[in-house]
Amino acid sequence: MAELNAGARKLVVKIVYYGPALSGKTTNLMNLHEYLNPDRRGELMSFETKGDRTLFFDLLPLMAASDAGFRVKVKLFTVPGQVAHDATRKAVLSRADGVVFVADSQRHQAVSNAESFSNLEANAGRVGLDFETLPLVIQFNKRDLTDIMPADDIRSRWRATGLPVQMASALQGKGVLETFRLILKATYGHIDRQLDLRRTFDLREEDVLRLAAPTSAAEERR
Amino acid sequence: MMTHPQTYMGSDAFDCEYRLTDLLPQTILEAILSGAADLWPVAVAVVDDGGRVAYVAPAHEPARLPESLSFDPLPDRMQAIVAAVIGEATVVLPLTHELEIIGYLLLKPLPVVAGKENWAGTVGPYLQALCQAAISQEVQVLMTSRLHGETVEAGFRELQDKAHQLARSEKRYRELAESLEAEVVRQTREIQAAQAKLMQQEKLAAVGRLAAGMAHEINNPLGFMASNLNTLGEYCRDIKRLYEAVQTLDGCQARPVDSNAGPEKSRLFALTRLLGEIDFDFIVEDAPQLIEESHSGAARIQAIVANLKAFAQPGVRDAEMVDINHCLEITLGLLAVQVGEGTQVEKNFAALPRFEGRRSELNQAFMNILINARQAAGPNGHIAIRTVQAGKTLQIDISDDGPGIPPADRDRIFDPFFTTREVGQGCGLGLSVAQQVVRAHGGEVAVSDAPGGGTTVTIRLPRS
Repeated sequence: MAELNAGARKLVVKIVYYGPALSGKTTNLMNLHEYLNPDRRGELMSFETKGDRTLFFDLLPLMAASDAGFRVKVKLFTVPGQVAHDATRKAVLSRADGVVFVADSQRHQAVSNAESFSNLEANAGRVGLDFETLPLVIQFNKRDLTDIMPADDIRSRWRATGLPVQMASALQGKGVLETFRLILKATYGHIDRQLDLRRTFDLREEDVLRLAAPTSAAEERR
Repeated sequence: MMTHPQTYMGSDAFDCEYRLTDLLPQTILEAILSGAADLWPVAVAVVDDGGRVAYVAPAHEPARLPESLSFDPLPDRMQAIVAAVIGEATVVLPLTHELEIIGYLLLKPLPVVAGKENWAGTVGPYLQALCQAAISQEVQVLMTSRLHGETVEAGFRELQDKAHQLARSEKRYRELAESLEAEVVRQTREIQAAQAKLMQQEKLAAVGRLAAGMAHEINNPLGFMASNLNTLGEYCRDIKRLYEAVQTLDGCQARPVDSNAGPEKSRLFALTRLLGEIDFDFIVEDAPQLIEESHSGAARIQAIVANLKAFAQPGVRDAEMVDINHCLEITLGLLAVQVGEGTQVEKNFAALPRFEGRRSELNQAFMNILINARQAAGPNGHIAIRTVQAGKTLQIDISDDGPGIPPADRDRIFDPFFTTREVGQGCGLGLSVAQQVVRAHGGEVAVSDAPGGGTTVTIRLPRS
């Protein structure tokens, strides 16, 4: 559940990029950092410590505001995909308001994808998230590689879940903003249903979606 | 279900919203700013986004902010805060974290004798940069250490859970091991009991087959014996009639006859003497009694054979709806005919639902138990019969005020052919048959001490 500070007119939203190792979660964040308006985004921080437990995660903070000055801080996190880092994964997933599942499109990664997804489902339950209602967007990344699962197969396979599916090539910056827009929409809708953001704080969906608007320079690069 | 949004995120979660005081603790502010106030002629202060003063140097400057100031929006009151904290400030620099201003660095040049440079303007951005560097450093430290703490805690909890589980299963195994011996003993006892019961049943079955065979074999000769005894009785009556007719003949008196009497008279006299010699009067009197006694003996044999048959093959007849109270009444009636009125019988019958069973067998069972009770109670004894419905059970208690059953005999009273009576007074099948019959109806017979001495036989039948 998003953290609302009505006095400071601020909402803090946490979105977690989940997925198997090396599927491109950090690349997603790096691209967003590059494309998004520098006035609205903070620095991409990568945390890495090596103690008796190794912790990896990235954090990109973003800030949106309504015309009336109600602010929404969106914190994007990535989890470590390696199977061994489940404790970190669980801690980072805690309190998430939305999840982007970044899958690897390569055929030989199908098993890793499936394992990571069931790990997401299990961990969501362990940290007290309702997986049935949790805003969730599926991204199939690495569309630029050969030997990948066809997009039609993927879509028809996921259709039954009703979840939004986005094809992407994060290294080339393709599909990253679209994925981000999808999760923003889903998360806004979910929180709006609980907090009535529009009526209580005059915070509209487009105020939040403005976050996903790239700078014109970025548009040119794409 | 909605958790209260403001309290949901634990304030020490790794991903919480950090405040200025989290990111710039006193020790760091001290390290960065105290030196500045020593080096340059500036007063320095740091306030957080709520206007609360986090640090002031030099220390002798006034540090407390009037409470009234904290009610205004921050930018409007900044000058007033600055004035209150360090006097007229010339430089106000924001401190940021994650796109937000979390506090301000305030500087005021102090009067310097030599030269009038505005130190605050040049030193300010430098100190601000130092503070920002410290903030990003502290964010790293806080987030990683707290996340580390969370994972360690989660791991610790998992370990604790596992330890609890292990302790629980260890306890269970220990208890199991401890109870194993007792369990073995108990099961052995159960098996032994089952074996004994099985052997008993085998024995009973063998006895039953023997009894059935004997009953059949005895029944046939008994049949023609009874029939012949009837015929013999009729013959006796005919002989008596003949004898009476003979006695009415003239000259048939038992006295000497004239020597000149005719030959008929002499033969009659000889016949009369013969009748006297063999005491025909007595024969005519005694023969019907002998036949009568034989009759009752045959009847007793018949009763024993009936018992044997009931014992050997209960449950062959069709079941009907039986009124247990009525059965008892009938049995009591039969018993009264057999024994007379000497025994007092107290009846306490509850209204019972009809019971699906075989009437003649049940009667036989009641009869056997009642005969025992009567024999135990003696000629002027007392028998109490009570029927009651207890839940799904029909219960019949038959109590006597006799001497009771010695403990040594308790275990054997249901054994076939076990009897404490004189030879000829009973063959030891009564209670066996009763038990066979009741068991065949799904019930049970139990024997206990009657409250006022004597014995109570309790029959429990499952309500059908």
